[in-house]
Parts: sequence; structure tokens; C-alpha cells
Amino acid sequence: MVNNAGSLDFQSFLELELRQWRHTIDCNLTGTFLAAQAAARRMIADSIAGRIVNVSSVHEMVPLMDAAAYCCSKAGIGMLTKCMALELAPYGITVTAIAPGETATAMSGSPDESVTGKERQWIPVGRPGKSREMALTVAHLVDPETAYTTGTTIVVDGGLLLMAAIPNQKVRIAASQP
Amino acid sequence: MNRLDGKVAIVTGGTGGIGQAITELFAQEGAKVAIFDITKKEAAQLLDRLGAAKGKLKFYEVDITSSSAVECAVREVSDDLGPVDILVNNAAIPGTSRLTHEASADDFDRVFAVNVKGTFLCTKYVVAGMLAERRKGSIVNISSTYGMVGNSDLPLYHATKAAVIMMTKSDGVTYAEQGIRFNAVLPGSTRAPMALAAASISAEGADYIKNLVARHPIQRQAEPMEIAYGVLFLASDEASYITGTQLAIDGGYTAQ
Repeated sequence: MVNNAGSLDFQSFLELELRQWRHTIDCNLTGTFLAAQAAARRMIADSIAGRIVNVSSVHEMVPLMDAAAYCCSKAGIGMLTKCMALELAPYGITVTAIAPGETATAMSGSPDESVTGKERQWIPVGRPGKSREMALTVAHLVDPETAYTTGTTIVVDGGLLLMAAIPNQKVRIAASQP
Repeated sequence: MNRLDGKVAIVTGGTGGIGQAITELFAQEGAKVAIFDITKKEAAQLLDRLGAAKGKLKFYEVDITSSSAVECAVREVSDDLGPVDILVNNAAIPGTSRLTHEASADDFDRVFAVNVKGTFLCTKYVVAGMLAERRKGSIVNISSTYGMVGNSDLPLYHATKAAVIMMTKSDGVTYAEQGIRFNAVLPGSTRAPMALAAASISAEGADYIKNLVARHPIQRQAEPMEIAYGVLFLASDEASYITGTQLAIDGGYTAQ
């Protein structure tokens, strides 16, 4: 069971309406909860040691401007992954997540085929990820050989999360030069 | 079956519990594997056991705490098998179970020499080779859940494994531009000789592993091959967008 469906709308926190907040939380977090719960119940009823993989985001860990609802929904998915892993382990069901960084898809506004040409100064690998790279990570997590991996999130971001201090470092270096 | 087809890999501690599983799986997936270890007898047994894959395996007797030994061995691998694509820094020792106020400076130096300095030296010479040849590569460092969470059974070991995580992140940022990826695998307690070694020096004695397993949501130890599959994924081109991160394979231990 792969909980991949998600929605991202930009709106400043001050302008964000309850309706918009609910839409994002419902789609991303509540949708994941409902689908995963239904799947887990069926797996247990059928004695299947199933796999559940949630597609989270690097924004479960770091914020994005004008995307409070999205970031909160993804942070919720991160914790839901852990809670489900804990409660479903006795049934042999593993629950994991992947946290993509910028990925070349319709959601991020860039088509898949343009990946290699895109320079990204703040991504160590220098480009957005490909959908296929996300899919291969999910495939790893549902491989029969990975049954001991549960409750964890694999970050697939080309090193984006490692860059928190770098812009400030560059500003300081620039300021120190005559 | 060919997830590492044509690749050359170095696996340090390749005759240990997890190391053997990684070596076996890598060979099975098409890699040529250089085994770095100090255990000649176990290496001979491993090569015998993996008969079919034997042509793809070569043992190098190397003490990874010696800079000159590592430099020389890495050069030999390139000459023997070809340029190195993958390095798995797997060799480690549990070190002393003595608490911080009881452990000696020698205890500290010993466990840091193998787990941290050894990882540094192998990375240093392998990465230098990759840069010189302008080749992409993948480095997988075996850290531990004990690098992420504290416990009072092996305090110095925890510190070494946390150091390995930070080396992974820093090197991940540094060498991304050159296409060299760095990731860490964090095994939980694994059914391998190191867990038995940790049990043998633990105050909990025979109950050590039983007590540890009780704290894992999946109520058993990992099999070495379950760790090896995570290493395989990160080492392979399937993980081409993953760098500087950690993969816990711990039966849910750190999700709690």
C-alpha cells in the first residue's frame, strides 16, 4: 500500500483560510490515515504481512514559505508512520516513508524530462530528483528482503536538508572579503 | 540480479557477520568485491563458502587504522580489480563496556581508531582515487542506531557511531558536485558476532540480547542479509538522488 496522493497549495499563513487548511490536511494526512487504516485492517484479516509506504516530504522536517498546511500535513505523516509502525509490528506489517526533496513533477511545476538541465545552487547534487528515483526507493522498501526496516523515513533529496547553514556561511564569507 | 553489474567495491570488515552478508550479496549482484580485514582464516573460509562467486572476490589483509596500509591496499585494489566505484565502511569493534568515568584513554583511542579513524582513512584514499579519475562513486558507512540514541551499555561505541553519521553528512555535502554520494546505514541489534561480543562484556550477561530484543517493535534481531539489502540499495545507482542521509534498519527501535 503506497500512500502517494498529496496536494500542495501556496498561501501565506496570515491569509490561509480554514477551508484551505482543511483541504490540504484532509487530502494529505487524513487521506493517508484512512487509506492506511483500511489497508492494515484488511492485511490483518487476511493474515498478510503487508507493507505500507507513505510519501512524505523533506518539508516534514523543514518549513517552506506560504505552505503551513502542507508542511504540517507532512510532519503529521512522519509521526503517523512511526505510530503505525509501532502498532502494526506485531502483525508483521512494516510502515515506512520516503521524504522526497524537489522532484521534477507537475506538483513542483517542472516536467520530468528536464531534470538534468536544471542547475540548483542549494541542492548539493545540483538538480531536482526524478520520479523514477523516488519510485526505486519505494520499491526498495517493499522488497521482501527489507522486512526489518520499519518506522523509518528515507530522505531522497540530493542532500538538500544538509544545506541549512550554507547560505548564511556564504553571506558571512562575502561580508568578510574586502 | 545485476544491480551492481561491473562495479568494483571495497567492503571493510568483510569477514564479519554483516560484512560477509554484504560481500555475498554484492558478488551475487555482479560486483567485484575487495574484502578488507585482518582475519586471514575467516577470509579463507568465506571464499570457500562462496565458491561460485570466488572469481569476483579478493581478500586484502589490511589494518584500517594504519594510513600507509590503507593507502597501499586501495592502490592494489585499483590495479587488481579496476577503479573503485563503491566503498562500504563496515569494519568496527564494540570497544569497552566501561562507563565514561571508568574507561581509560586507551579504551577511547582503540574504539575511535577502528570505528572513526579507519572509516576516515578508507574514505580518504578511495575518494582521492575517485577524484583523480573523475569517477562517480557511492560510499556507505555502517553507523548504528547507537549513533542516534544513547544507552549506558557501550558509551564510547555510541560516540564513534555518531561521529560516523556526521562524517557522512559533511562528506555528502562536500563531494555531491563530483557525483560521489555518502550515506549511512544504521543497523539495530543484528544476529552477528558483534552482538555476541557486546553481550559477553555486558553486565546483563546472557540476558543482554533478550533484553535488547524486547525493546524492538519487531521482536527479533535483524538478520545480516537484511542489513546488506539496505547497503546494496544505497550503493547502487537506484539511490542516485540519495546523499548525506541515514537508513535505519532496526525493527522500529528508533521510531519509539
